[in-house]
Amino acid sequence: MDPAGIETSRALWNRRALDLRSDEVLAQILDRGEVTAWRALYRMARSDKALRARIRQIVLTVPVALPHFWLAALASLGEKVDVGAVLPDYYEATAV
Amino acid sequence: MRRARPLETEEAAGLCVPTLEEMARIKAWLLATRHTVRDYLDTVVLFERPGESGVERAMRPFDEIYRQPTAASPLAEVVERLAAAAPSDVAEIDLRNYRGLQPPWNDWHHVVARGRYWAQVVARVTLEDT
Repeated sequence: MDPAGIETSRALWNRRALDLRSDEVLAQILDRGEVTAWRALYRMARSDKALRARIRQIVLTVPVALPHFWLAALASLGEKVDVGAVLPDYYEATAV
Repeated sequence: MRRARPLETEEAAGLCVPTLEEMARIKAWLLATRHTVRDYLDTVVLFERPGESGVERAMRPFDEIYRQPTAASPLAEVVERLAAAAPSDVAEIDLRNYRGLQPPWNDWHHVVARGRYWAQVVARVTLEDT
């Protein structure tokens, strides 16, 4: 895996280092990353089936800002996903 | 100022009009910001006309043209809205009796299926290195 472009993402503001083995870190990148980091992740996901599966699982279960965007991205990589799946509501799930 | 550059235009029958690619960008911007059934429908139909390579060409500069102070990607928002297919007024609009639409565009299920197809194409444009 080549995470170039992700290490400096603003999404990692509360982390000392990038550890993409962590689902929490991956969720932070999906939720709060910028396009540069997303492009690096997409590049990695293209040849990493396990990473694609983890992204899918996170998007389907954790509120992220643009969940259908990520499902469409996975579909564009050939993953069999329901792009219009009903997903956790970001605002309801994160409201206090 | 919403845009970082002027509209791309051409002359048609003596009139200065936006190019087809520019029309697609304008409608996509409305989908991202206004998010009505009309915006969804117009965006999808305008994507059909130039086809996949035309949409790729049209949407590649979208984030640069509609640059945000937060560095957020409006193009990712367009993909989200195409894929989610949940415009704000979807419960109030019946496409079967809407603005004289002709088949297949008067069938919401068809419109959504095409919108989700285009969501994948535009997601790739957003995320592929240029």
